[in-house]
Amino acid sequence: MTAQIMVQRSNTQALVVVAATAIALLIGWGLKGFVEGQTRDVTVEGIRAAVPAGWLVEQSSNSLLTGGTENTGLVFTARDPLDPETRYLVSALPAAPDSDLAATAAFRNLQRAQDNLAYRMFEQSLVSLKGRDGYRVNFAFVDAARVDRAPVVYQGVDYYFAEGDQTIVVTLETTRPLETALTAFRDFAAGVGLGE
Amino acid sequence: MEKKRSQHLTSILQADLISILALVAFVVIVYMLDELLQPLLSGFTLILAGVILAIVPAIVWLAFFYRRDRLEPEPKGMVMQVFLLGALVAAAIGIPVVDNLFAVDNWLTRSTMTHILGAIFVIGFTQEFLKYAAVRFSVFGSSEFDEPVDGIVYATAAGLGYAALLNINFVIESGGVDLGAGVIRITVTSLAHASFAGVVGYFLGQEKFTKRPAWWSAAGVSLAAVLNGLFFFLRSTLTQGSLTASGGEVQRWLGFVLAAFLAAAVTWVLSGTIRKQMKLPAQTAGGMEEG
Repeated sequence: MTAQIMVQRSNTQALVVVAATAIALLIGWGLKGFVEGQTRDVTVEGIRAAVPAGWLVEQSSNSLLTGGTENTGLVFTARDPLDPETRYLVSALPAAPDSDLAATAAFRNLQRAQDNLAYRMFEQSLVSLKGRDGYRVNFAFVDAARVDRAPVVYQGVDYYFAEGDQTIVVTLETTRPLETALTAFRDFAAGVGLGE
Repeated sequence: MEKKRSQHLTSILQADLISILALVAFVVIVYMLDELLQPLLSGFTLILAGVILAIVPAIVWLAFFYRRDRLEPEPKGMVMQVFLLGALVAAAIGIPVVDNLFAVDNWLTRSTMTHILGAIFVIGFTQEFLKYAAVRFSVFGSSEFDEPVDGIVYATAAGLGYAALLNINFVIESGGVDLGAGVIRITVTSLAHASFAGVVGYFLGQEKFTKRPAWWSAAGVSLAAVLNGLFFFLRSTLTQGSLTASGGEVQRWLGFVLAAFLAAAVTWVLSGTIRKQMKLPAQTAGGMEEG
C-alpha cells in the first residue's frame, strides 16, 4: 500500500470522527432544547402560566425586593432547583386608569426604591412580546438581607401586561448574566395570562 | 528480544504498584494536611493548593502510562507537548462548549435519562473528540509515532492534560475546594480521563498501523464518549453534596468507589491490550505495508 493511500485512508477516518462528533453534538443540542422546552401548566389565583418542567412553584414566597406580598400583588414564584438564584415572579395589580402600564411601572419602581435602597432602574419602554403589547423595565438590586453570605447583585426584567381590570407583572430575577436567562424567560412571560 | 519483553512486563507491574501506592499516599497525606492546615488556608493559598493538587495526580498517572512504552519510549518533550495541548483544547474549546454553549448545569440533571444521554452526547463526545484531535492533528503523522502502543501513550497524555485543566478550573471555580474531598475527585478524574483517552489512543494506533474500516476511529471516540458519560453520571449522581460541609462520608466513598471502579476497569483492559501487543511482533511504520 502506498503512503498516499495510507494518508487518504487516515483522512477519511478523521472526517468520519468529525462527522460522528457533529452528529452527537446535534443530538445533544436537541436534547437540551427538548428538556428546556418542556413545561407544565399551572393556574394560581386565576392566573395561568406554563412553568418550565422541574421548577418549583411557591405561593407563599416573598419577593427579595420588597420582602412581602402585601403591596406587590405577588401571586406565585417559580424557581429552578438547579439554579436557585434565578426565579420568575408573577404578580397581579389593580389596573391604573386607562390601563396606563407606564404609570403602574413608575409607581412600582418608586415602591421598590423605597424598600431597597440599592434598587436601580436602567431602562423602560413599550414592547411587543410575541405579538402581545406590554411594558418592559430592566433593573438591578442588591440582596443584602441574608446574614450567611455576602450581598448579592440581582439583575431583572419586568414585563407589564394589561389583562381586563388587572395588570399582570411577570418578573425575572437572576444573579446570572441576564442574557443567558432572557430567551427562556420571554417564552414564559408571553404565556402568562388570566385563565382557569 | 523476548527476554527484553518479559523484563518490560515485570517492570510495568512494578511501576503500576509504585504509582498506585504513590497516589494512595498522596491522598492520605492531603487528607492529613487538610485536617491540620485547613484553618490556615484561604483565598489565594487555598486555590494555589488546589492547583497543585490538580497537577500532581496527572503527573503520577502520566508516569504510570508512560512506563508502558519502555521498549521504545517516546520523547518526553513530545509527550509533554501533547499533555499541554490537551490542557489547551480543554481551556480554549472544551470548557466553553460544555459550560457556556450547552450550559449543562441548567438542564442536565432534570431526569436520570437526560443526565445519562446528555453526559454521553455533550460531555463525552466533546471531551473525547478534543483528546482525539490533540493527538490526531499533532503527533499522529510524526515519525516518533512508530508503533500502535504509541497511540495509547500520547492519547493518555492528552487526556491527563485535559483532566488537569478541568481540575484546575474546578478548584478555581469553587474558590479552593475542600481539599479532603477534592483530592479524591481530582485523582479519580485524572485516571478516568487518561483511561478513556487511552481507548481513543488504542483505536488511533490501530488506525495508523493496520488496515481498518473508515468508521474505526469514530467507533473508538464513541466508545470513549460512552464510558466518559457513564463516569460523569456516576460521579455527579453519587457524590452530590459530598463537597459541602454537610456532605455524607458514605456517599462520598460510594461515589469514589463506583466511578473509580469504572476508570480502573478501563485502565486494566487497556493494560491487558498493551501487554498483548508487547507479545506480538513489533508493528512499526514498516508494518503499514502489510495492510
